[in-house]
This record gives sequence, C-alpha cells and structure tokens, in this order.
Amino acid sequence: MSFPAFFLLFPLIIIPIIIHLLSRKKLKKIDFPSLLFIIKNEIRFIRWFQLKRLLLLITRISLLIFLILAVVNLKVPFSFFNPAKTLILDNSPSMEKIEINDKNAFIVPMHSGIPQFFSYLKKHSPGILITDAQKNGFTEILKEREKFPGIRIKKTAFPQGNLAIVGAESGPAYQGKKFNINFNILNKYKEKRKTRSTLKLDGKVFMEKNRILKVGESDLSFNLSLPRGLHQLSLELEDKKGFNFDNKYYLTVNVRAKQNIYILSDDYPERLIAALPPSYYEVKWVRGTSEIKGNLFIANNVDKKSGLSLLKNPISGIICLRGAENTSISNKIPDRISTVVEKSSLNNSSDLKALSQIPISYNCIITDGKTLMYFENGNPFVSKIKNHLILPTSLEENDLSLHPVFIPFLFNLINSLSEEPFCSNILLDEPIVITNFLKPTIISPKGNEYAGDPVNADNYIFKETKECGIYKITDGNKIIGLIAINNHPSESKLESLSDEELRYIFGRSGLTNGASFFLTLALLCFILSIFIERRT
Amino acid sequence: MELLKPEILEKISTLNLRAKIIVKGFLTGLHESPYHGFSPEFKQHRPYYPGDPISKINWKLYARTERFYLKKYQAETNLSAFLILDKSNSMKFGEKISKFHYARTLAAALAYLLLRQNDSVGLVLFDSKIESFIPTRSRMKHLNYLLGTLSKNEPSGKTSISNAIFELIPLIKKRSLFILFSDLLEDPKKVIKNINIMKAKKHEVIVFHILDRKELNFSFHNEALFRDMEDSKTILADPKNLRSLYKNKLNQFISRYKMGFARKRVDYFQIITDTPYDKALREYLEKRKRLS
Repeated sequence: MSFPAFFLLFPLIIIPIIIHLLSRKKLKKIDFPSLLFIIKNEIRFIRWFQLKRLLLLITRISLLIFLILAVVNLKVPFSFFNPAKTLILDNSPSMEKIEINDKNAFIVPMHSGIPQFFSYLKKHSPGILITDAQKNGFTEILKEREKFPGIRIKKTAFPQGNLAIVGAESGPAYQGKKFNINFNILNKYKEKRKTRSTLKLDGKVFMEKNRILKVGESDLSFNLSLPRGLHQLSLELEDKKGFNFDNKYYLTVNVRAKQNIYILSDDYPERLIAALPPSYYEVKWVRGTSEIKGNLFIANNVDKKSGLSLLKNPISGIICLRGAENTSISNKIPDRISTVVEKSSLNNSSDLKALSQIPISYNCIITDGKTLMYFENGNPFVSKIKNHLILPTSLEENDLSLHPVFIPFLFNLINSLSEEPFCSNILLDEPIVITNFLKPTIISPKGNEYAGDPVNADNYIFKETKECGIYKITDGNKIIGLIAINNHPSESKLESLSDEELRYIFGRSGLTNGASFFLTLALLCFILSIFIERRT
Repeated sequence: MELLKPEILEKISTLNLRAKIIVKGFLTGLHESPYHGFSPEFKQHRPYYPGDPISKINWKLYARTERFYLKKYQAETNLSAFLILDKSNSMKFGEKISKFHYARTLAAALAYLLLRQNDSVGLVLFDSKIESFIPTRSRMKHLNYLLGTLSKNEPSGKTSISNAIFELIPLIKKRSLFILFSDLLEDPKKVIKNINIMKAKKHEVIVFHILDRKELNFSFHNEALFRDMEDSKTILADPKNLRSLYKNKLNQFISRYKMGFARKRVDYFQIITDTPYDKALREYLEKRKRLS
C-alpha cells in the first residue's frame, strides 16, 4: 500500500457528500391544489426517503473508499480470487513428496501422516498451509516461496506428542547365535502410551508385542536368532490413540558364519581380543607369521619386513604397520596425529562417521594399493592391497581402540575382507556406493529398477534413493545385497515454525494484494447504490 | 374546432373576444339550435319527421287535422342564471392552463351564450367567502361588466364552497339557475348539504368540477416537496409510490360528489382543463336539453 497515494486520493470521498448535499437542494417544490390525498403517506415515506438518502451516501462513500483502496492496492490478510488450488502441503521427506504441478502449485502428499490432517482440511477453505512443521522440511517451500505470495498460514493443531522410530542398532549377527536389535524411539509424549509393535522378517510377521511406553522411554529391543544369510526386517509401531507417522523402520541384517581369526602380535592383544566376542569369533594369538591359519588374520604393530611377507599370505588380513621405512608399500614419516574425514568408500555406515572425532596417531604413509579411507590431511588411513587391508597405525596402542566406535569399525574392517553379501542401512536421499560388482542394478521397494552410474572401475553410485523401504541389489541373476532406507531422524521431530520463520517464508503476516477484493466490494456497492436509487 | 382548444384560446388576451369566439365557433358547429326548448314562447308549427321526439307533437292539432305537427318556440328572456366561480388558490393549479383561467373562460362563454338568448346573468366570485357579487342583468352591455370583473380577479385565499353558498342563498330571492365552477376541494358532505338548501328553495344547480389532468392522474415522476396551494403546508412525497393510492382516494372523493349530486338532481360535469370549450359547452347544453 502506498500511503502518499492513499492520502492523495482520499479527498475524493467528498464527491458523494457534495452530490448528497446538492441533491437535497435540488429537490423540486410543486404547488399542489390539496394535500388531502397524500398526507397519510407522509411519515412512512419521509422515513424511507431519509434512509434512502443516507444509504445512498454510505454506499457511494464506500464505493469510493473501496476504489481508492483497490488503486493503492491495500493488502488483506487473506487470499481473494487466488487460484482455488492454493492448498499448500509440506513436501518434506516426512510427508513424502509425490508431485508438483507448476501451474497450481499443488503438492500431493502420500505419507500416512497426511490423513491425520484431512479432517482439518475439510473444515477449512483452501489457501491453507498444511505441514508437519518440521523446520528442515521447509527447504522446498523456501525455494518455491515466490510461487505462493500471500498464502494464508494456519498452524494446524498438532498432537500433544508423537512416537516415531528414528533409528536401529544391530549387534553382530552370527549363525546359531542370538543377536540383539534395538530400535530407537522418539517418544515426545508426556504420558505413557499404549503401543503395539510388529516386527516383520522377510515380509512376514515375525513377532508382535503389546507394550506400554513410559514417559521418556525410547528403546524397543528384540533378541533374535536367524539362519545364515541376508534378511529384511521392518518394525511398525502403532500408537493406539495417537498420531501415527514415521512409525515404520526398515533394517537389513546379514547373519554370518562363525570366523577363525588369528591375531599376530608381539604383545598380548588385549583390546583386540576383547573387541572380538568369542560367541562369534574364534580368536587365537600367535607371534610368528608361519603360525597364521583360519579365515582371517589381524597383524598388529608389525614392521616393514613382516608386513611385506604378510602381503604374500593367501589368507585375508588386516595389517597394521609400525614406523615403516621406505618400502614398496610405505614411507616412514615423523609422528603425526590426525582425524579421519568422511569421504569413506569402505562403508557408509553412520558408525564410521564418528571416526572423524577421534585423533589417530601414525608414523608412516601407505604408498601402494587403493585408499579406502583418508586422514584429514590427505594421507591414506585404510588402503587395500590384494585381499589385505593396510593401516599406518596400531589398533592396540591408539586412542581409537579406547573409543566405542572401535568395535563397529573393527567389524567393518573384518566384514569388508570377508566375501559376504552387501548389506547396508542408510538414510533417504543418501547415495549408495557399491564396490566391485559387475554392473549391479538396484530394485526399489516399488519394483523400479535403476542402473548405477560408474564412479570408477570398481564403484557404482546409485542416487535414486527417494523411497523408504528395502532396496535389493542384483547382479542380473541373484540378489547380492540389501539396503534399508529410512527417513532422517530429525524429520520425525514435530517442531512448529516460529512466527518469525513463517514471516520469512511467506512475507509480512501472510498479507495478499487486495486490489481484486476491493474492486469486488466497490462493484457490490455500485450495484447496491443503483438498487437503492431505483427502489421506491 | 382546433381554435377552441384551451391552450390556443388562452393566447387571446381579452376575455370578451375569447368568449365570443367560443360561442360563435360552438354555434357554427351545431346543426340545430340547442336552446330552442329553454324559453317556451310558441313561434310556429312544422311537420313531424321520423326521429323527432313524440313529446313535442301537438296532439290537439292532430285531433283537428289528423296530421302530426311539432310546435316551434321563440326564445325569450325568462332565465336568471348566476355564474359562481371559485377563485381560491387551489384553482391556480394547472399544467398548461390554470383551472381558474379555464373556468373563467368557460364562465365568460356561458355568460355570452346566455345573454345572447336574452337570459339575465349574474356573477359570484368566492374563496372562503363571497368576494364579488354582480346581480343578474339581461342586457348585452352587462356582459362587459361581467367579463371585466372576471378579468380583474386572480386566485387567492382558501376554499370554502359551503360557506360561500351559505352566504349567497339569502341574497337570491328569484328562482335562478346557479352554475358553479370549482375544483370542489372541500368536504363533500358540507358542500352537498348547502347545495341541498339551494335546491330546497327551487333553484337549479349545475356544477362544473374543474380538474387538471395532472391533478387527476398524479403524473409526477420524481420525489418532490408538494406544497398545499391554500395553506402552504409541505409534504415530501414520492409520486411513483403514491400514485395508485392517490388516484383511489381522489376517485372516492369524486364519487361522493357524484352520488350526492345525483341524489339531489344536481347536474354535475367533470371538466378537465385540456377539454375544448365547445365540447364542455356541448356536454352541458345537451344534458340541459335532455333534462328539458
């Protein structure tokens, strides 16, 4: 609205007042022989006549005011004559974006959470923003904000809390052994909730539990014993009287056979042995390279000479080098401490990302082989030569081995050497990198097939990870891997946007241009004034 | 007869000339003298022709001659007529010609017509009371006096027909014909009551109810302030809204007069001011003829 223009045009409302005054003076006087026959109508008519004049004055003034407001384009706090389809729905991953029609900016949600809003939708006219109000879910709308000027904001009455499954942890799964799966629950209720959880294994109901979740309780654990091989798991948590969304979580598990691991070390490898539970591994400590047998070996803190000879061993192993001199596989450097960066191709597990917080000391650089993980300064951390993994540090004498992330890291190292099927759990929209497969294909939960883009000779990347569920990896003949994809945990947190944030997205108080609104009112006033004028 | 239209005649300045033109024009258009039956002095007989009124047949002569003869009469001065003209303010009203001007001209024409047949004519002008009173005379010179009085007077004052009649009755001793020109804007009950007194005294009464077309139809369009011409009261009114109601009331009012006059055998003529004078005269005379 332009205030100078408003004040410039405002004096125009004098016009109907002048017309009103002039028409009063203009009233014709007629001399008539007798008022005998009209006198009885006087009072009624004069009242109507005065009212008519007043109404005419009011409608004419209103007409002019509305015209002025239309000209200065006063903004109104609601949409008028906007396209009918101005229903805006949050298209963040938690709501599952399906379609954006550019013409009408219509976003159709499919997520199970949306039906919860339908009853609200029925009660309100279009022009309402429907969202689960997760802050990070607004990125799409922020990009599109120009398309929705002046949209009316209605914060929906969200439930008092919510339950959602935001993560899962699985212990090592070995054939013949029970292992534990712990699902992390986001429990935002301030009272206990009756829930029913259904665990499905390979598409069939495997276990059902009725449970009352106490306030703040955030874990659901299952103890399982499964046959060897890949398994698809999903947990559905039903909040019986609540708001069910993000209540399904997918998980893949690879149940392995028990492994014989030989640890080559001068000193007793106390931490390594402790990290490898006897339930799943048969661990043996040896001092000489010739004694190594079994499925796999871990050579901790070995010198240059031992390292070179171990490379020739047909058994796969993890070789941790100690201050190596210049050799074909390593160069000695002064002692350094660094952290691992995330550009890992070893495994995308979120556990390994925690490595970036741990300082690791090392004193040589691996010069040979393929680097799988790097230090922050660019030096190789984990490299692969043939069927061996080489690390420039001791697993025993390092801060790393004292950290909780050490055990999953060690398991990952072991897993990457064993020829096990590919098994991974990632988040929505994260790319999948698959190594060493010949032209693999992934099949989405809905059955769509996607071919990966080659990154280099060994790696393929898949970006089509836009559905929650379990993706299958095939080599054309059989399933060689499973990937579970779930929402980012933060998507499940119901946090309303602040007024300031809403204003940032939609502009000042959600006001819209009122020109069409005021023009319509002016037209109505015009019609009304004609009607009143003709009315006798 | 175009010439006898009120709005054309009104352009002629002198009332005398207007009256003469009206009467001459009127007489030219007649095929038979309308005033043959008024003053019955026998002139001659003429044979009966089919269509002649049987009542005029001289039966005595038929007995003698066995032939039908009708008596013909020579008019003579035997009628005393008073022209009573309402000069109240309400008579000022009129779209093209005021009711007063119309009534005045009609009265003048009648005066001339009556004097031509040797009747004696008097004049009374009144509003709420008698303003002018001229006794009857039959000489033609008297016409100038009558017309002069008519010309000098313009409408003024409030109407009170009943009062004027009440004042007039004691002044008239001889049996007379009273010809009243008025818009009759007074309570019909009072007016008829006083006219009854006149009738009781064996006077003949003819009433010319002068009305304007606009007054009759209330054909105004926009809201206006209507001012009563007699008491200057003002009323804001919407004609479109009021028209039908107004017409109903006016018709009721006129009906009351018509019924009252008919009951007392008073001749009543409603004359609209756009009616040609000759037509008004013809209607009057034909009615008189029928009655006679």
